[in-house]
Amino acid sequence: MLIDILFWALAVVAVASGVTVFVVDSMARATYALAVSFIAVGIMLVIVGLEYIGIITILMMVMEMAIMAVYMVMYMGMNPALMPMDMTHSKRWSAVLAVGTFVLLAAGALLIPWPARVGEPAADLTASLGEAIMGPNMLAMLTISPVLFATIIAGLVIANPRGRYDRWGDDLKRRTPNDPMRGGLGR
Amino acid sequence: MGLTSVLARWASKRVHVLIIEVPGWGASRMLLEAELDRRGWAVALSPADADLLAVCGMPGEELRAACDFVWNQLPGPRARVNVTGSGSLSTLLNEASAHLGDDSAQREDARSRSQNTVAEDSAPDAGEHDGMAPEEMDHGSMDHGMDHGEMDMPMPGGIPLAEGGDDRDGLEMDFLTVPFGPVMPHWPAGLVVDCVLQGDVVVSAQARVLEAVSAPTEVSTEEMTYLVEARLRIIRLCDHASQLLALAGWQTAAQNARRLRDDARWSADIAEHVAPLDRLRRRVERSVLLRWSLKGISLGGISVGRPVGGTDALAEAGAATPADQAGVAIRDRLIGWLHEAAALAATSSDTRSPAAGDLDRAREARDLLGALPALLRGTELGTARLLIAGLGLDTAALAPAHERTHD
Amino acid sequence: MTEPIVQVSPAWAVLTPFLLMLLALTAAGLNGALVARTAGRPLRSGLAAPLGEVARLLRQRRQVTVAADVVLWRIGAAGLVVVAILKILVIPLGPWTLADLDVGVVWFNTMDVMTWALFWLIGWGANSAYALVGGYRFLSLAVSYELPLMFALIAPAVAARSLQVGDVVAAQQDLWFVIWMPVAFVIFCGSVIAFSSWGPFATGAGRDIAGGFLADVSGVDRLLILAGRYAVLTAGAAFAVPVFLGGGGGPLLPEWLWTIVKTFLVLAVFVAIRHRVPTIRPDRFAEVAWIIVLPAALLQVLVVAIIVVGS
Repeated sequence: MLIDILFWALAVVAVASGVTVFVVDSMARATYALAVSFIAVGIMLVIVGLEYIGIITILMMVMEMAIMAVYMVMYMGMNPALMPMDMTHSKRWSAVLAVGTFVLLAAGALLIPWPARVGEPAADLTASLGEAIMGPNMLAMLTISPVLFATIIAGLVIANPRGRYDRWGDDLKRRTPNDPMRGGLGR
Repeated sequence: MGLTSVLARWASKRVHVLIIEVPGWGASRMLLEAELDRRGWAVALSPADADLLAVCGMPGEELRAACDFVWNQLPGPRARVNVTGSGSLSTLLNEASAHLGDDSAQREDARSRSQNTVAEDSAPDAGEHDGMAPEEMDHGSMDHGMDHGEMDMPMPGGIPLAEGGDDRDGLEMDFLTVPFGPVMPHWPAGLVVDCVLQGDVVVSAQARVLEAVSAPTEVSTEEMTYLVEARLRIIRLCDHASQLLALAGWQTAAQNARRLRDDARWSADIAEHVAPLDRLRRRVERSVLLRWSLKGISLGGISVGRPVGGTDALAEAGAATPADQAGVAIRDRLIGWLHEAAALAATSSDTRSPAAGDLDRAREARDLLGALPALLRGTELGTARLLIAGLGLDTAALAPAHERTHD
Repeated sequence: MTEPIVQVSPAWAVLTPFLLMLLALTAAGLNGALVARTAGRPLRSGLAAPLGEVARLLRQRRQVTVAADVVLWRIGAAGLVVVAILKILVIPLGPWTLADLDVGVVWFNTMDVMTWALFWLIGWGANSAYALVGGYRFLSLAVSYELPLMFALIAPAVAARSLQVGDVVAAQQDLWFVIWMPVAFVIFCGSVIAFSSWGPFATGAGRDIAGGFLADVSGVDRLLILAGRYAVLTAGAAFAVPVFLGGGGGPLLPEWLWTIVKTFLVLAVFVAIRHRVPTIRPDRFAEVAWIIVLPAALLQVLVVAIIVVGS
């Protein structure tokens, strides 16, 4: 009973802070309202029994929001943080789309005849969930993540307007790199 | 109530003092710092951190306005003293401490302050003065911006939004005018550097020095009899070294240098300071982290004068870093100061003739001040602070000689 | 040897904050004593310094700045102590713990990531140039130390084959982890100092920017932030004990006393480091963290994994 109340309270908090993201005037507040929403979702996952995933969600999302606050303030141009602003575009169509998706998913959740539970939940929910999702493709999943990481790094390197020749001179023979700010190792 | 008086008594043991030094009154400031060390009181880093505002010297008009502005920003309970050398420092501080513990007086002060801000709020353009960023003292430009008639510009809190521009990486970033004010920790007295920042990179800078009403005269006559040029120079070098070390983040070494400075003022025989000065210099030289932190920061191309006895260090530094701009590296400057202080302590007899007169010092200070804007351009905030400290600016020499005594 | 970790009733949670703040107070006293010694005063006069500071800050009024983001500012200021208390929920005092979560190690990591948000909020809320620079400096440092910290926490978890703190303590019956994972221990200690914005990693509150994110806080807020810093440092030192230093193991003394003694020793080293080592610049540190420290942490995890799989 208590768990149910907690679950519903967290659900309300998650949706309310999600709405707050678009209502507040300050980018910093929007970012941290989003963080609160994610924390509520993480706690809900912990309640459901997926402790590891829930806590990792909280960890990752708070870290992301901290970095996102930096980027938001940096990229929001003339109006970083303090003035009334409206972040929504094409209000009518996005409202239609959002309500439609919600109705579709809610109808699916309520109307599909879900099978009855057979047996008991596994002792280690996280492990069994992992095996159920990834199953025989575990090796592919394990290799995908370093490949994704390498892709991100490669994209950054390619997008960097300054290359080796800007830093080390045309013959790559300069003793110290020509950087606007000196790095810690002088590489 | 018993609890309030207990809290007041405990709080009186740890008063935080914000020191405003007027150019030319360095001796008062150093005496105050020594007294604070003796009592276990701390030097405040900002007005919000301070209980007691100590103005060392007799400030001129602009500096006095800055002092009043900062006084407004001290959260209560607060007290204010003027350290001019006449009258015992100890009694001054004791009185201030008693005033801080006097709850009824502080409540009265708080009440009168809230009445003042209510009166100010009715005037629309005065609201921005309540507690802005502590070191911003010059609102002239902002008032002009408001009067320009751009009343439809968004202005949160009465402050116009910053305009943007390209920065060194080609991104667009806002320009923020931040004066490095006359009241900052480890800052040359009375110096104001009006910087334009993009992020924390200094884009442009203008330097000027706020004046004193007068220089200390009769104040130091008893001390002048045995404080001669060499000793004064040692004190000044240790002071500069202590500021630079504190800004580089090494509080212990900075405190060490401060103690050496205070000892050099009062001890009879300065030759006994050679060993501690050498120890400090070796400690600074040995520190790998300090060398790494300060690497590549140099006073590019500025002639800062040749320190006595430090030429070999300079020559080595010059030969070892051909790729860096030709100029004295900050770390070498620091070690050179300590080296020179030790050399002066070792070789001086008490009747050494002054090496440089007032005119030379004034010229050198003016040159350094003039070189400041070019030096700071493109540097990051922390580096800019280190560079300014590394210049070893003697703002007292820049002040016009009102009533100076000659050495 | 050490008893298995047992979860006590949540009623004891009322006392744990007091124990935490008591240890934090002793750390502050030690810091004050060291400051007094450098200033040439006797050590004893510095030990009582934190009490004077607390009294002073309780009497001080709050600083008000123009257009400050008050909500975020107060959240940042109050959050540090809350985060520290949440952290110690999983730390066992001897054989007793308040919440032996299945994912205790990750819980600790999650709580210290909260400081990313909190220090930035403190810097942002004041609407002041120096405070903002301080908050951003902390974030730039945080990006550098976080990945090494995560890998340094994985090493004991791999060795114990579990993320539960109780299992990690139990796996140290024969040999403390600090002995065969020294790199992970050093990285962990450095990261604790870094996420408390302490000592060599305190550029966010640096003197060159007039106190950084501490520049505009006064009164109760300042007290919460400074106490929160010490509390987070203490919680980090306390976590090093079950994860690297064998929990309550040791001869003669009862286990809970050993935990406190070990925590205090680690904490004393952290406090002393502030007085020996100059501050590290975040822009210089980034290269070192990504090129030297992170590969070292990865190698350490590799070594541990090989040993564990082999045994």
